[in-house]
Amino acid sequence: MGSLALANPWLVWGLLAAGVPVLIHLLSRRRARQVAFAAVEFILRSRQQKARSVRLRQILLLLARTALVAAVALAILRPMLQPKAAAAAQTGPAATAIVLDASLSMRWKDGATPLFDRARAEAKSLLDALPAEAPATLLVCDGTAPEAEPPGFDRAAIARRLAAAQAGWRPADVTACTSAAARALGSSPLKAFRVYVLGDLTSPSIRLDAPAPRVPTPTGEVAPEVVFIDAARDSPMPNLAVTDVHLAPSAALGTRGFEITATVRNSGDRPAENAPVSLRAAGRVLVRGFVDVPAHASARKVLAHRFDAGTILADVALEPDALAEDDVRAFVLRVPRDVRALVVDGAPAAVRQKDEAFFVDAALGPGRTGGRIAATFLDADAARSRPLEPFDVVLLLNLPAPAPAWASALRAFVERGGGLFLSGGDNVVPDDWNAAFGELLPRPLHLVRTTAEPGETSGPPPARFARVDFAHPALSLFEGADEGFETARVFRHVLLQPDARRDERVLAWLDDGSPAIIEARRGLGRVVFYTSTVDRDWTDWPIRTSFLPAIQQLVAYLAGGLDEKPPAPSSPGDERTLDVPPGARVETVTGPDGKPARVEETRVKVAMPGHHAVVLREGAGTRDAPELAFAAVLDTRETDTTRIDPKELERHFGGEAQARIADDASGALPKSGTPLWSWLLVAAIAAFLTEGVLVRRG
Amino acid sequence: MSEAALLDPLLLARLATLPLRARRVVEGVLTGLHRSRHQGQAVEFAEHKEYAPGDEIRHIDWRAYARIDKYYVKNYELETNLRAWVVLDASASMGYGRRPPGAARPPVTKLDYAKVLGAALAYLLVRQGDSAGLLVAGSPMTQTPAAGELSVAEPARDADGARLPPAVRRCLPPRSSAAHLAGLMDVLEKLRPAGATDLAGAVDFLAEKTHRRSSVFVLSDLFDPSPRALASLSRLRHRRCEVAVFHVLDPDELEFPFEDPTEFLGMEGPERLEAHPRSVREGYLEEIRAFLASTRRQLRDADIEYVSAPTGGAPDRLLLDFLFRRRAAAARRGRGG
Repeated sequence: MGSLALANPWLVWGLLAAGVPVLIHLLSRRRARQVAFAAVEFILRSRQQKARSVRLRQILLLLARTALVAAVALAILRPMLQPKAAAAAQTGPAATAIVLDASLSMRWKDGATPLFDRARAEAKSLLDALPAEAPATLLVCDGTAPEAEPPGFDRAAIARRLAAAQAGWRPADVTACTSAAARALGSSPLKAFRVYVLGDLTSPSIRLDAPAPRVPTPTGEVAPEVVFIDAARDSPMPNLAVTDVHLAPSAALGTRGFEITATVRNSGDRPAENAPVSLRAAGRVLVRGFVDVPAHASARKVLAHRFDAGTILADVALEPDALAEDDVRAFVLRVPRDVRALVVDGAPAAVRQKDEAFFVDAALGPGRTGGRIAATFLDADAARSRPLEPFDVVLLLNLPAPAPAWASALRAFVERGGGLFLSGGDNVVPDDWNAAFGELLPRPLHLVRTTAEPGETSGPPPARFARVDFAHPALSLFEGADEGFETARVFRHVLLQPDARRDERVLAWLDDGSPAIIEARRGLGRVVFYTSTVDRDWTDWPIRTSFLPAIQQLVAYLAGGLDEKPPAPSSPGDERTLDVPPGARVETVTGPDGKPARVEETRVKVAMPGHHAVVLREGAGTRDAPELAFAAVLDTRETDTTRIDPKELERHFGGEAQARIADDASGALPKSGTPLWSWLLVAAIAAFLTEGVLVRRG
Repeated sequence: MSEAALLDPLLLARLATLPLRARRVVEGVLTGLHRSRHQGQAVEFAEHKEYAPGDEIRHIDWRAYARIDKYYVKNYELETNLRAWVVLDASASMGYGRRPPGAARPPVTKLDYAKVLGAALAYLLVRQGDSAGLLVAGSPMTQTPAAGELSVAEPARDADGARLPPAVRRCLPPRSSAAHLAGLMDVLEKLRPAGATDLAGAVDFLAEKTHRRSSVFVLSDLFDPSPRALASLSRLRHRRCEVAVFHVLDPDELEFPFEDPTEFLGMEGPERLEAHPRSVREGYLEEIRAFLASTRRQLRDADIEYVSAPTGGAPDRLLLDFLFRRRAAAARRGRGG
């Protein structure tokens, strides 16, 4: 209950008229005619039974008459019942701030109307209803650092800003925005301060652990009156959203098969049953499934598909609901294409098992790779005349140093993006190789070191793999399965010069501290040098379990199929730096809406969620750069549309006297109180009718 | 003055002498209160019967013997000498009588009416040779009696000087002489209503004093707060007394015609009640009717004759109806007995 205010307090003397019926009642008890009556006892007997009802009737009659006069007198006073907040509110015009929640959740549609549109309309109504003497400011809370201008009287400017405001894609901290708005009000000389917050009151946007807003004034901080206008009008906001997508190769589907695990969150009060989930790419639905998600919980759905090789721009989608923007989550998938490998056998042998390429052949055979790697085996002479362009990876197994022309061709091949695998052997003469390959090698070769003789049981032990970089994409498969490396013995290997070169990375070390496998990036391609042999001449690694898959992985890596992790998605509002190759520049970046995004050199301003395609300019021409394509995804915080408890909200902002929640602008504006005079007149009429009935029945 | 006017109780109230009033009323009424059941030595010749051994010699009609030369005895009707009491309630409540609006004459009170009835009955009785007594019921007065009025400030005493109980104001045992009748009329004439009703006390006194087979005529409004009154009357019946109750009530008490706000004052006690008659009429009439019905029922159950005697009616008509009923009842008993 609030307080009682009187519109005409000077008429309070009229209440004295309520005493008139009492006076009349007293005066009307005049001295009656006296009659000596013998049968008075019978009157007394009858009155004993009726005494109570007669007395009650007299009392009711007196009350009815008094109430009638009192109700009329009170009605003339025009009393008003004011709510507590109004009673506590400072009188006079108030410096006003309007905070408009423009976070992602405000895109939630009630019917066909986004909550943001409704909130914006209510903000406009508030602005129009403000008294002329009340300065105002507007803060659109869209996830950027909240800053509010000092309150002013230029309503038109605020209206323009309001009209131009849009719901964003990012989460917003409404609490911080409210505090910023309150701080801005401190510049007003007025004594009263009021902040209107128009939003959806979802719990992620309002932090109850933050301090309540305060207005700094010369006499100290003052708590403003905070009025929340609930754009959702106290209705729940159920929502399903895809909050995460995880990609993993699917062994069951073979090459180019992937499992896409989508996480679906249900923010509604009811469980979602058989919610359709689709995997889409290039505008087509590739896979469709159904998921059950309990209320206020998440569930996972795995969709598997075998893709074509290349860069796939795909997404996981739910059926659109009230907040359709979070029903789609885009991702970029790099699906490795089939690798064409040229294997140059530097030491062919009539006995197959003794052939230098025997184990490599086993590793890259169709039966082992599922056809993903198509390997061509040639000897050195045949390979020299073979063009290298059709291949993705060239493996030089124990080759003597190539001729300068061929070395140059190999260099150009790598520079253009090809992969080169080099392995040691008896034909590898370090100085010749250094002279032939030059900078193409990850490191210059030094000499061949023999640690032990094969078959010898006495003498120094052979070298072994000591450290393997399982973080490397080519070897990540072996993490946790070290025994395939630990058991391998290396009797002889090529030592490398200790000078480290640019862009080199050691994938595996031997226990003598020398690299066993080293790679370097050269141009667009890569070079991997394995310091021992791919046959059993120098090591028994080829007969260990890890050798064959290691060769497969290294070949795939060199071909670009095992690149770094899929490109991390960006979020709307981020500035993404593209890894543009040297000599190229970004021509355009096209966003999900088909419009170019804002680009500054290699930095892209991500404006909205979805796929972004990159076009590079290289020299005179342009090309699509699918390797630079990326997806922008929403911040999952805004997909939680659970609404905050209104009582908690009021309590945090100062209690009922300081904070309240309204459904619209008219409910938010300060109340002048509830007029009571009409009710009092109704009461007067009721008293009049009651008096009539009692008199008639008397 | 016409006979009809004489019969008007309001007209009779203007007459000064009660005996005259009583006689005028009585002469308009047929006599014949009773017949004895007993035949034997008669005061009045009834018939001859042939002498049989055992008959009284002194009853032989010698004249008849001289003429007929046979012995005949005379049969006489033996008229029993009836002893009757008139019990008159002279309590304060009997003093109620409403003056008609605009009328100059004094109101006829219930006591006035009862006096007329009582005097008429006494006259009838004495005139026909019966004895009539008077018992005035009413507790001692509290106000100073006016000159010539009977004072009951001191305990009343009977004719023999014996002290009377508080419920009895005056007691005149039944006599049949004219002088007794005159004295009875005088007592009635001077009687004023006073005191509380204690009919039970008076009747109990009478029950001790009266002979068996007496007649008792009670004239009262029966506004006795004690429930013993009717029980006491039943006790008289147990003594083979014939009891008749004349229930004297004012029309106001029967109709409750009041309209204006009125303060009702009790006549025998301190009761005061201010009420609007409209608000209490219905309840009052309910109570008074229930009282009348209950009284009739109890008296009937006790084999006591009940006569409704509103003061608005003619006392001669009332007595006429009463005597006719009595005679018819006596005739029925004679045929049956």
